[in-house]
Amino acid sequence: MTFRNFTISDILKMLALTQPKLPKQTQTINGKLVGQDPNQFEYINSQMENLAQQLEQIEIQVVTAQQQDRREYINQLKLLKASVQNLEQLYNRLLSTTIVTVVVLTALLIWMGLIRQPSYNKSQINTTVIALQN
Amino acid sequence: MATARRVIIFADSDNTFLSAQSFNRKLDWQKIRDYLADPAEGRELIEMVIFVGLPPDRERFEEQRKAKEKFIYWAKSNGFLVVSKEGKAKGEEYETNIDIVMAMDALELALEVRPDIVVLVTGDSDFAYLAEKLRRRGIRVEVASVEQSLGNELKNAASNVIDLIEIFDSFEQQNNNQNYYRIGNANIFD
Repeated sequence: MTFRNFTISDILKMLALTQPKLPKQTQTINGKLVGQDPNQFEYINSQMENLAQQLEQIEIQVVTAQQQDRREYINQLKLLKASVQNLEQLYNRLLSTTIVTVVVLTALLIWMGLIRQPSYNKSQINTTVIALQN
Repeated sequence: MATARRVIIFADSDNTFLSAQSFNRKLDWQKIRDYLADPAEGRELIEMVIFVGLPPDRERFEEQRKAKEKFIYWAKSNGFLVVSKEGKAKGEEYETNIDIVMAMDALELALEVRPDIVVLVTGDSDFAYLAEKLRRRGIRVEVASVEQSLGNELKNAASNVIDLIEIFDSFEQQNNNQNYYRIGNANIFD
C-alpha cells in the first residue's frame, strides 16, 4: 500500500503528536508542591483510549489515501482515452489522405503514359522517310 | 508517568534550631529532609545543605563550638552537605553572618543545578531577596518554617510556605518534664 501524501516520518510525527497527555496532577500539601502519579488502572485506560484514537486516525488517513489514488487513476484513464481518440482521428485522416493521393497519382501516371505514346511513333516514321531520300 | 520534581534544600541551622527550641523539641534533620523531599509526593532530593555558624575558637565558646563540631560531623556522615563559617566574638555573644554565605551558595547552586524547587529552611526575612531572585529565574521557592518565627517579608517573597509545626510535633521533647505550647496558637497540644 502506498501513501502518496503521508511518508513514514509523517505518520511517526502524527503518532508523536497524539501521544497520551496525562494530566499531571499537581497540588500543594502544606505548601509543598507535590506531583501524584495517576493510578495504574487509569493510566492503562487512558493509554488504550489514546491508542484507539491513533488507530482510527491512521485508518481514516489510509482510506483517504486510497480514495485519492483511485481518483487519480480514473483521471489518468480518461486522459489516455482522450489521447487515443485523438490519435485514431489523426490516423483516419492520414489514411484517407494517402488513399486519395495514391489514386490521383495513379490516374496522373496513366494519363501521362497515354499522351506520350503516339508522339514516339510519329518521330520514328519521319526518320525512316529521311533515310530513303538519301 | 509523572516525573519527580527536583528539590534542593538550604537550611539555616541556627534559625531552625531556635524554632525547634521554642517548641521544646530536639531537631531531627533526617525527618525534616524526608518530609520536605518525599519521593512518594513526587519530590526528588538533589541535596540538602545545612549552613552552620561556628562559634569563635575562644575558651568561653568552647562548649558550644564542640557541640556544633559534633553536629557537623554527624550531618556530614548522614548525607547532608554542610557549610560552616567561623564567627567573630562580639561582646558576650558572637556573630557569623552565615546568612550571607547561605544566600550566595544557594543562588550559585540553584542556578548551576537548576532544580524545580528550592526549599529554604529558615524564617529569617533577610532571605526574602534570595527567594525573589530565585523566583525570577523560574525556580519555585518554598520556605519551611514555623509561623511564629517566619518573617513577613520572606513569607511574601516565597512561592509557598511549608509549616513545620506538624513535623516538629513528631520530634522528641528536649525536656520531658516541661509542658510546652504552640507559640501563637491558643491550643495546648499533646
